[in-house]
Amino acid sequence: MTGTPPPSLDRELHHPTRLALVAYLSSCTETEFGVLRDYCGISDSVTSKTVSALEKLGYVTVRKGYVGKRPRTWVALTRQGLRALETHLAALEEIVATAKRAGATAEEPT
Amino acid sequence: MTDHDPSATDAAAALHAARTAQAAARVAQTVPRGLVLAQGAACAVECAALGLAGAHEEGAAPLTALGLLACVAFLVLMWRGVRHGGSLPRLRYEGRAAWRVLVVPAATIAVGALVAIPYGLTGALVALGLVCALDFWRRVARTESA
Repeated sequence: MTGTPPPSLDRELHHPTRLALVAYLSSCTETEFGVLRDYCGISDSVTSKTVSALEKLGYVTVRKGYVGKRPRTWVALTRQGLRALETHLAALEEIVATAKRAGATAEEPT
Repeated sequence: MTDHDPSATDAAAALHAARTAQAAARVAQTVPRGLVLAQGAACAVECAALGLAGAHEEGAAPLTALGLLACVAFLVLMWRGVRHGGSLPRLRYEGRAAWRVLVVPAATIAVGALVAIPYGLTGALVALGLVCALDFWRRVARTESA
């Protein structure tokens, strides 16, 4: 045992759509709403609800503007959101690694 | 997934989905080859024209105009480049020492300064433009060979 507690899963990022959206944003400074919608393969309404929920949690920020006369919405991951994602991914890796270790131990000849 | 801790299979699937999303975002940000080449050309023309404008009194006005036009074109092309694919790239230097990030800009400035000794500001600007263009084109070659 070490003194460092293992990373814990973030319940807010359990949902696959939320996780995909936040992971996509983690590779960008900011992304257009439509790009997120198309990547996740979800409707405008579901994207909007997901982004709003993440915004309430402080994981993303939303910026509205125009490109020419067309209204556009850009979404960006906050530091808090990035930390949450990193912790969540570390926890998932820990689960996978633990399972692999357990599998390897079980296969060892006695 | 449920509210309970996921199984190892679920965790591996979630990890894979997250890594795929991160990779997809990076792929979407890849600037088209033609745009990077145009950025390099605009940069070279801008610096060279502004540099030569100071050396040729007769052609100063058209060269300055050409330099300013290329400057605007360069800024527009850079803007289109960073906004390509609907995403603004995140600056990432992971795995690279801070000094390595500064090598290319420092080398560019050093070349400009060295050329300035025999050829003055004109030579420095022309050299700066050419080195910048070479750097843009080097990026294209590196991306294509990756």
